[in-house]
Amino acid sequence: MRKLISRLPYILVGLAALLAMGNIGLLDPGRLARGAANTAVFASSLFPPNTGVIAILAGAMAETLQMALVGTVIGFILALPLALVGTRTLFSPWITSPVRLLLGLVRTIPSLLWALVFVVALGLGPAAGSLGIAFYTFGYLGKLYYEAFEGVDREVLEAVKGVGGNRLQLMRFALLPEGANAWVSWGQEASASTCWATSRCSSTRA
Amino acid sequence: MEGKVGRPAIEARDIWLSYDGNRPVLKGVSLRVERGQVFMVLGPSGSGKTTFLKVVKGLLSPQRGSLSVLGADLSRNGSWKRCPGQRIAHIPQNLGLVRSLSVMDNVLTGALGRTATLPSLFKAFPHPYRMRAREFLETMGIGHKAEEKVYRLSGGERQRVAIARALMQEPELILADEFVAQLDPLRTLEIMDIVREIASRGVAFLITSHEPELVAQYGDRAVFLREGQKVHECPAREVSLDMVKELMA
Repeated sequence: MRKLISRLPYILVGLAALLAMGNIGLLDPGRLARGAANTAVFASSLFPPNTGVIAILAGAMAETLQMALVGTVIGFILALPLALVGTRTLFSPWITSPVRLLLGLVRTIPSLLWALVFVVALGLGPAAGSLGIAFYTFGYLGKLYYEAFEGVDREVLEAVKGVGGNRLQLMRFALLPEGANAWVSWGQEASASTCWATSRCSSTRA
Repeated sequence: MEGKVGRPAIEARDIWLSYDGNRPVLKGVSLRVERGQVFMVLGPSGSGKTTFLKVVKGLLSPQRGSLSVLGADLSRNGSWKRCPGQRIAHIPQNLGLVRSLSVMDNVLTGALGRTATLPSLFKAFPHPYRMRAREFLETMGIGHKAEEKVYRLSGGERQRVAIARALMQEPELILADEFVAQLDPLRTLEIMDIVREIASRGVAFLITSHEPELVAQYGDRAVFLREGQKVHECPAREVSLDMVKELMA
């Protein structure tokens, strides 16, 4: 009996999942069979490939990659200095809190909505999509960067302070080199994920 | 090996410090370090050694007592003043080196306080500073590693970089926090020989250590701290393992 009680949560979750599957039609054999047939029709229509659209697709893909590159670079350029100003080991909360709030606000708005904002400002086209991606990248890279900078060993900061280094010198000789691994790898990660985001923002080209 | 007598490098009287206002970490510590003296601070973990070094460096302000460092009275009129920072070099326990910068760049950071901000941001340090940094590295026996990144160096080499950076500050006082604790015996002796050589030029050292043999061999004076209190002070050559056992028990 005790065994059954201890397993009750798993049983309940399993039953709930089965019930949900039934409600959304995943346990309907007729529907599943029709789905399989439709999938086969879809797969067969992919062959032979229509080579006539390759040139159009290549052009669109090149534009997508350009948008991702521009968006990431602008986002990175905006994020790095602001993240430094948002670093609590360098500035007081009076300065870091508004910066973090701004980064948080920017981050809460998805790239697609930013793109729509820039469509209003710049009209339809890849420029609006690129700026949408740039702003979203700026928001989340900014957060990742100030967290990376705050993870820099305190002894390194104290050492650079101790030789008379001011805040700019602390950034140059402690935070940026010691946090380099993080800010470079997150930058690369951002460029990869913005390629995906760009495919959504590409609708602004229409 | 007693240091030369004159205006003291450090004169601390009745220093009291508590982090939380209740439990004092330093309880009335007094000591006097002469210029050119290698002054060793012994004590178990948590005895207040590192805290005392941070007080001397000006990173912490005590609640009570008086402190004079390199002739500057830091406790004047009841409020604590900033230390004459650049003349005091601090080598923390983990050295505080920037691992992804080159050895030369790390040593040159010792001159940041004397270099204009804008050129320093582009690592455009004045030529005489570069020459001096290279000289220090040669003296430390790692001149050939000047362009190497610090993370590629061994523990002993890193120690030498930290000392070269400290010397680059042109200090009159060097505070070193168990800075040879992670080295093998041979490297430790090499580093301590360098310490003695620098001290002979009039630079005072305040070094925390756990090793009585090292203290006896290389120190001028030694002080024992236990639970934030000074329990004994003597010429360093008198320090022995038995004495440590007796005082720390």
